[in-house]
Amino acid sequence: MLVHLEYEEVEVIGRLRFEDLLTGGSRIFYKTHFLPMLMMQGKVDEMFLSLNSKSGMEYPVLMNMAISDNSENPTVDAVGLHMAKRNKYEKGILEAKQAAEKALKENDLLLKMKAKLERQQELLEQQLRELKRINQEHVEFNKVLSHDMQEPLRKIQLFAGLLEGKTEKEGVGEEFGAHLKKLQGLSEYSRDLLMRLQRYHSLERRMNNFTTGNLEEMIQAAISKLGIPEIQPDLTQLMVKNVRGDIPRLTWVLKELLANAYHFRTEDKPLFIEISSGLIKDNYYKAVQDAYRYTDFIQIRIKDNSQGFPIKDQDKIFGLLQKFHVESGTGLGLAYCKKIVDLHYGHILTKDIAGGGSQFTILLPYLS
Amino acid sequence: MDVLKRNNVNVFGKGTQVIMFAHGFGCDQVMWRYITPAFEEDYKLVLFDYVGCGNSDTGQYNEDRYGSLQGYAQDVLEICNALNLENVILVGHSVSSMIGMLASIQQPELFQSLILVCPSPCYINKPGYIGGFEEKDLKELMEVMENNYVGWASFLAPVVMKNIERPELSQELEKSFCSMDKEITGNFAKVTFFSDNREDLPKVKVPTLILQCTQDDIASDKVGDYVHNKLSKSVIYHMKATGHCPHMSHPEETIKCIQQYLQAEDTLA
Repeated sequence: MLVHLEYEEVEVIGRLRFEDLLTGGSRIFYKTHFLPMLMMQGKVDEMFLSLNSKSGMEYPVLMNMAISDNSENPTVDAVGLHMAKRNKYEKGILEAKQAAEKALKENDLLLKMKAKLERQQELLEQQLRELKRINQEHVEFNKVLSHDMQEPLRKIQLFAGLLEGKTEKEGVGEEFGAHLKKLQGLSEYSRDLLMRLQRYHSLERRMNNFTTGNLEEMIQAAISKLGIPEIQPDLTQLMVKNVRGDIPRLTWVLKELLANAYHFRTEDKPLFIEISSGLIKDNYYKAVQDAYRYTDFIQIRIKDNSQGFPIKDQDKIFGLLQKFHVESGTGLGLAYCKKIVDLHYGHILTKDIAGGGSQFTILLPYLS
Repeated sequence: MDVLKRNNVNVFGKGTQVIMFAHGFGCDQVMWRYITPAFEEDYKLVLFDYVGCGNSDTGQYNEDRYGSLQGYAQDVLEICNALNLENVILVGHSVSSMIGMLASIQQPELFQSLILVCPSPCYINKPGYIGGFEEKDLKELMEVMENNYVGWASFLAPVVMKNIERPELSQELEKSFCSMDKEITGNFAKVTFFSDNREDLPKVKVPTLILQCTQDDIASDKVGDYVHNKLSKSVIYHMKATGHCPHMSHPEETIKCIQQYLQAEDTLA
């Protein structure tokens, strides 16, 4: 073998390892595949490897190897067969086989893609129709919310007002007056709720054009809008600051989440909030099944030392009428946040942190 | 879809603290068999095969998903989530070092620490970086793999060697160990050896241990030092073990290194 590889005995024995004689590609496969097999099962049969001669000539061999004993210093016995001529012949067959396989695979792929495309088109048709129907409903629903339902409530308030004037003049009694006040309060609340619902419902049509914003500036804007001195988040972990989207609305989301942390603060510890950001890769396809394309997302995390949410169900936390604290009124805040993030093709989720506190994570597609 | 079946997930051990073992390219979970007995008493061990390796469900292979190491990282995360794992110590060999890092960037809260056995973020030489291989070597690798899948008749090479007795390995295991689907392995080789994840290293926030072998010509000392320098919270142990698979060739030293690191971590915590 030494003759074939153009080496002198002294150049190899005790100086080179077996893998040093292999070509780069053979070395990788030998060390990642065959050597583990040799170590685990004590032998490997029929390894096809390429050795490198001293002058860089390839010397293909077929080898068997076995560990010859199990003592402290096991040795490996190896037997090989030079494959030059055979290899040439085999290479020819292999190339032909590869070409045939490739053609077959491409043909097969083409047929599969065609069938898939047809299925997708059918699905698209169904979904477009569905979308059209939903859109129509949307418009009607919006009209009901913005007008048809507002009007009776406005009239209830009007008549209640008239009654109020009358009771004041004629003195109908305290109980009557108290009930009337309650009625007025309830109709006021319903009107307010209706208006918020309508705003929530028509959000997609009121979105601003996407622009690029600076996350740190957005956070500062949210903080100054809140005007609560305790809200001073740690921003040292903002690794990525470019955000693309409806910047005023995303700023609103940040404001809402900061307000949330404040509402749930624990009395015994000073409020601590950390906002961090970074780039991660995630599958772009969330709705289409079995489709994968890993693209960049900016991940924004808002971590605090608050009490966390009283419920754990994500759907409920971001639910339309979920209400966590009396002050927040109609409970549309987090649902609104989720809808804004969804309209950016992003996600928002929350998680309680072990040892106290909660964490919101927002993922938005990152366009550099 | 059953993640645990897809990835042939095996859970055993008497402890609660989780150690998850992720195999490298060219092999499967059996490669950890000399390591796991040392941890069985005190830990909960999670082993698995990537789709297309070992006894995984090859039918679940998706070229687009596994055309990126991110797809493999998603497997790791899905297994953690399916088993509700927390504070995972992930031991990843070779390409699984990178896969583990990617998973930890995605969901750092799932991991307590990463133990990287012979990691390399990029195998190909680049300007100012020595990965150890040229594109030509990787083309050769594809050729070698192709050649090895031609069913050679066994009489071509004389079998004169004595096989040592390894009663713990059944015939069946012998057959299945490192068995790989040709097509999938080719793709896995491409995604492993052509990936360049150098830019991801600074994003890793989880504490890491790097186990660097002597004379590892798949992931050299220089590459190990490069990884160590780029990771914010890393420790590097230079092992006496030679080669690229210390967990198989030098299991005692590998076990000692892992135990030593976990003890140090415990004392700090």
